[in-house]
Amino acid sequence: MPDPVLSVQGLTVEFKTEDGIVHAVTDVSYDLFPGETLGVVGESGSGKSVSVMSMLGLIPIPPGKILSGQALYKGRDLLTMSKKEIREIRGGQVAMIFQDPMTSLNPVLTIGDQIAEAIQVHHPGTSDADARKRVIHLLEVVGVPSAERRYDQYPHEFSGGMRQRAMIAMSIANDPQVLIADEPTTALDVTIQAQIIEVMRAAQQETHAAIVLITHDLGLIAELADRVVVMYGGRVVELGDVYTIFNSPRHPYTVGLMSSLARLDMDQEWLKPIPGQPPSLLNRPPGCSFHPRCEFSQGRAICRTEIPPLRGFGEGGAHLSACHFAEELAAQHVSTAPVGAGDASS
Amino acid sequence: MTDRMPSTDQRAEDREEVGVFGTGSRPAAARAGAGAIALPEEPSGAAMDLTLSYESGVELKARSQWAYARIRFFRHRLAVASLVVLILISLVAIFAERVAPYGYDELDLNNIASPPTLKDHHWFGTDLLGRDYLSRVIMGVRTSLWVAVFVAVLSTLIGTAFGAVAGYYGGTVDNLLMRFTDLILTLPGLAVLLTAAAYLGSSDSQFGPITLTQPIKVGLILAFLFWTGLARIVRGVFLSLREKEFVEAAKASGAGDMRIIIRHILPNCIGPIVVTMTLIIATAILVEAALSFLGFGIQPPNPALGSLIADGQVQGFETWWLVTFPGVVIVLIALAVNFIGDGLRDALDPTQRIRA
Amino acid sequence: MLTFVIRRLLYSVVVLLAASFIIFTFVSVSGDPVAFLRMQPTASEITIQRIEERKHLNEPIPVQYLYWLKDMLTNQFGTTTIGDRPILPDITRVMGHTLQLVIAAELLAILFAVGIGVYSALRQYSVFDYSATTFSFVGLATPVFWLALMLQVLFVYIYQWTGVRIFYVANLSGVDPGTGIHFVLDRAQHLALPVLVLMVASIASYSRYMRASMLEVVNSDYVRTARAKGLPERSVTMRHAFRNALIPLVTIVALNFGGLLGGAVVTETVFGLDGMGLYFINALNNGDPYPVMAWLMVTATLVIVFNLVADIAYGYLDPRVRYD
Repeated sequence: MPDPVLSVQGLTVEFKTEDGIVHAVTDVSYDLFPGETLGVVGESGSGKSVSVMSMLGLIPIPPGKILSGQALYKGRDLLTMSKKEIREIRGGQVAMIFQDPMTSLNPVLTIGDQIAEAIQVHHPGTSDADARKRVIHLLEVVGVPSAERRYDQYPHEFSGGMRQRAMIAMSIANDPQVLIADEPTTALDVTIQAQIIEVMRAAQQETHAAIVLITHDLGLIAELADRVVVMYGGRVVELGDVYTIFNSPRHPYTVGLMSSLARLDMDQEWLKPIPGQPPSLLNRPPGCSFHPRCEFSQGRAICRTEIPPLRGFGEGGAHLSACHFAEELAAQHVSTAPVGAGDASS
Repeated sequence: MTDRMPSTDQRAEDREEVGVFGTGSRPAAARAGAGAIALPEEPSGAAMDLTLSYESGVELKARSQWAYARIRFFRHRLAVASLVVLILISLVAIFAERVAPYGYDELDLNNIASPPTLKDHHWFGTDLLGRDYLSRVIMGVRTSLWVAVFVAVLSTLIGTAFGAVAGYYGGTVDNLLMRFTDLILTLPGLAVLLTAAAYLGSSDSQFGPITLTQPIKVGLILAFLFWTGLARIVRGVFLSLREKEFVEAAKASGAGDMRIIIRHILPNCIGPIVVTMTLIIATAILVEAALSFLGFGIQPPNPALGSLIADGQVQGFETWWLVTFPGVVIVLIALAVNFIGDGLRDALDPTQRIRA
Repeated sequence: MLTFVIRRLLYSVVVLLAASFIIFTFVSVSGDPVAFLRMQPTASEITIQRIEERKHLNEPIPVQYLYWLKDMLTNQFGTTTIGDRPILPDITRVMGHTLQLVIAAELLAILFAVGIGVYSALRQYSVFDYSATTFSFVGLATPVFWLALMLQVLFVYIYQWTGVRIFYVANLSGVDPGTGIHFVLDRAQHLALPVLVLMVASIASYSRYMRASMLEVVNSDYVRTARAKGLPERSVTMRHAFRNALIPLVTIVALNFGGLLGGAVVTETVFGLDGMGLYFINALNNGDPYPVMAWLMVTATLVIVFNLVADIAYGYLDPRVRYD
C-alpha cells in the first residue's frame, strides 16, 4: 500500500456563533491514496465540507477554530503551515471544485482569464500567450466546444454544465495531486450530471490525481468512488471500499442510507427513510450521535453514554465502523442488494 | 434608468452573512433535532418556548412571526434607545403648550439676546427680540413631527396602492407608473419641491367647506413626491410574487384579484413598507426644514424648525445659539428615526442581518 | 451601443417635453410675473400692458407654452419678463460656478467613500468601522443647510479668535483674486466649505453602500474560488472583490445626483455663491416663469446626461449588462 497523499488525523473544528459553539467536525480521520477516488458521504451539516475546507485554510478563523488534528499532505501538516505555504499548495497541488458554478465564477472576468490566472499564480513568469494556449487545451480536455472562442466569453454566456466544466478545467490547470470536489453536481440538472461525471473521469485520467468527492448523492459515489467515508454529526461513522459500504454496511446509519434508496432493481413497497432529524451541532446528543434515530440501538445504555470508537473489520482492518454493535449488525446480515459501479440508482 | 439592469432597484441592503458553514440558521433552537435530552434550564436566546421530547421526536411551540420580529427589534439597543427618545420628544410635542415655558412669539424683554442659560428657563437662549428659543423649538418640533407623519402615512397609502396595482396588473398602469417616476426622477427633488411650494403652497386654500391650511399643503406637496419610491418597492415585491404558486393556488380556489392582493401578497410587503415609511418620516423632516429655511415651506405664523434657523441666521453670528439648537434637535430626531428604521429592518427582514 | 444612446436620448427628449409642459402650466397658472409691477404705484398701466403683450401673458396656457418653447430653442431661452434680460448668458455663468462646486464635491466624495467603505468592510467591527458607520448615520441625519451654517459660524469664530482666514464663508472669490494660480487658490479657499458640506451627505450615503457591497462580495462564492486558487489576499481583494463591489455604487451615485443638485441649491444660498441655486431661488421669488423653466430644463438635461454616463460606466464595469 503506497503512502497516502493526504492524511487527516483527529481533526476537530468548531465555530463560535451567537447561539453557542457549533461542533462542526469532531475527531475526523481518513487517508487518501494516490490515484484513488475517495467519496465522502453525509447529509448537510455532517461536516464533510468543513473538514476539507479547514484543511486548506478556507474557513474564516475568527468564528472558526481548529481545535486539534493534523492534515498531512505528503507528510507536511497543512494546519501548521504559514499562509504563504498553504497558498502555494492551494490551487496548485491541491485544487477544489465547488458546488454552484453559477456563483463560483467571477462575473466580470472572462472564463479564460480566470483559468489563466490560476496558472499564472502558480507558475509566475508564464507568458500570457502560453497561458492562453494551456487554457484552451484544458477547456478541450473538459469538453468545452469552440474553446478558442469561449476563452473570451464571460460566465453568464456559458450554460450551467459548461460553467462547471470550466471550473473543473480551472482545478486541473496546475496538474494537482489532489482534487477536492465539493458537491460538484448538486446544482446541475440530472442530465448534465452524467456529463460532468464523465468530465471528472477525464480530468482524473489527464492528471492522475486523487479525488476527494464530497456529496450526499449516493449514485455519484457508486459511479466514481473507490472507497467511501460516511460522516454523520461531524464524525466519521464508517469507512471502507465502495462495494462493502453498499453491500454490507456495518453502521446503522449507512444501513439506513442504503435502505432508503429507491431502487430500480428491486421490488419496493414503501421507501424507508431514516426517522428523525439530523442532530444539532450546537447541542449534540451524548454518546453516539446517531442513537436517537437508531433501530439497532434498542435503547441500550452504552449507545447513550459512550461515543463509539472507529473499529476495524474485515481483512487488514480496512473497513472501519463506529458502532458499539457492529458485529451484531454483521451477524444479522443486514444488507442491501448487490450494487456495482455503473448500475446504481439515482 | 429603466434600461439598466437593476441589481437593486431599491437600496442595496446591508448584507452580511455569518460564515458558518453548513450549520444552523436562526433561530437555531428551533432546529434542535430529536435526541436532545429534555432541556434542563433555559439556554440563551429564543429557546424559551421549546419543549424537546427525547423519545418521541421534537415538539416545538413556535412563536408567531410578530413575536420573533419584536424580539429581534429589542435586541437592538440603539433602536430601542431611539424609540424611547422619540416617544419622549413626541410627548413634549403633543403637550407643547403646557411644557414650553413661553409662547411662540412671547417676548421676554428682560432677557434679550441671551445665550443659553438656566436662568428663567432659557435653555436654548433668546433672540434679539427676546423670544425664548426653547419654546419656539418645542413648537417647531410639533409641527415638523406631525407634518412628517402625515407625509409618511399619505405617501405610504398612495404608494402602496399604486405599486400594488402596477405590480399586479402590469400593463398600462405599470407603464404609467414607471413613466411618471421617470419624470419625477429627471428633476432634482428639491427643485421640484421648491417650485411646487413656491407656486402652490404659500398660503391656505379653501375648497368649499375644507380648509387646507398651509402646512397641510406643504405636506401634500411632499407626499406627492415621496410616494414614488415606495411604489417602486411595492411594485417590485408584487412583480416577484405574482407568479408564485400560492397566488395560483388562491386563484384556483376562486379568490378574486382584490382578495389576492390584500390578503395574500400585501402581507409580504409589510416589512419593506414599514421600514420605508419610517425612513420617509426622517426624510420629510429634513426636507421640510430645508423648505422652510429657504422661505418656501411652512410659513409664519405656523412654527417650523427651518424658519427658526432662518430667523437665527438673519440675526447674525453673535447669536450662534439661535441657529445651533434647532438644528441639533433636527439631527437628533432624524437620527432617532433612522435608528428605529434600521432596527425595524432587522426585525422584519431576517434574511438581511446587520451587526447588532 | 450607439443605438442604445440614441434611443435613450430620444426618449429623454420626450420626457423633457412632457415635464416641461406640466411645469410650465402650473408655473404660469399660479404665478403672476407682473405682480411685482402691479404693486408699484409708479409703474404705468401701459408698461404693464406692453409687457403682457410681449410675453403673451393673456393667451391660453398651451399657446404660451409654445411661445416659450420657440423662445427656448431659437432665442437662447428667451428673456426675463421684467427687464427683458437675456437668460442664457446668466445661466451659463451660474452653471459654470455650480459645476465647479458639484463636480469637486462628487469626485472627492466618491474617492473618500470608496476608501472608507472598502476599509470598513475589510476591517469589520473594528473601531474604524464603527466610527465610519456612526459618521454615516449622523451625516445622513444632518440637514445640509444647517451644516453649512454651522461651518460658517465656526470659521467666523476661528477668524475672530485667531485673525487667520483659513476658509472663506461667503462668495465665490475675494475682491481682487488675481490671475492664474492666485485665482485658483482663492477660488479653492472660497469653495472649500461648500464642497465640504456637499461631500458630507454623499460620503455618508456612498460609504454605507460601498461597505455593504464589499461585504456581500467578500463573502461570495467566486471570492472563495479565488482564494481556493491560491491567489494572494491582495489580489483577491482588489482584482476580484473590489471590482465587483464597485458596480452597485454606480447606480447609487447616479440616483444621488438629483439630491446633490438640490443640496447645491441650499449650499449656494447659505454661502452666497453666484450659482444655479441662488439664481433659481431668486427666479422663484420673482415669480417669473421664463428663468424658472430655463433653469429646470438645464438641470433636467444635466441629470439626463449624467445618468447616461452612469449607465455607460455601468455597462463597462459589468459585462452582464452590455448593450451590444
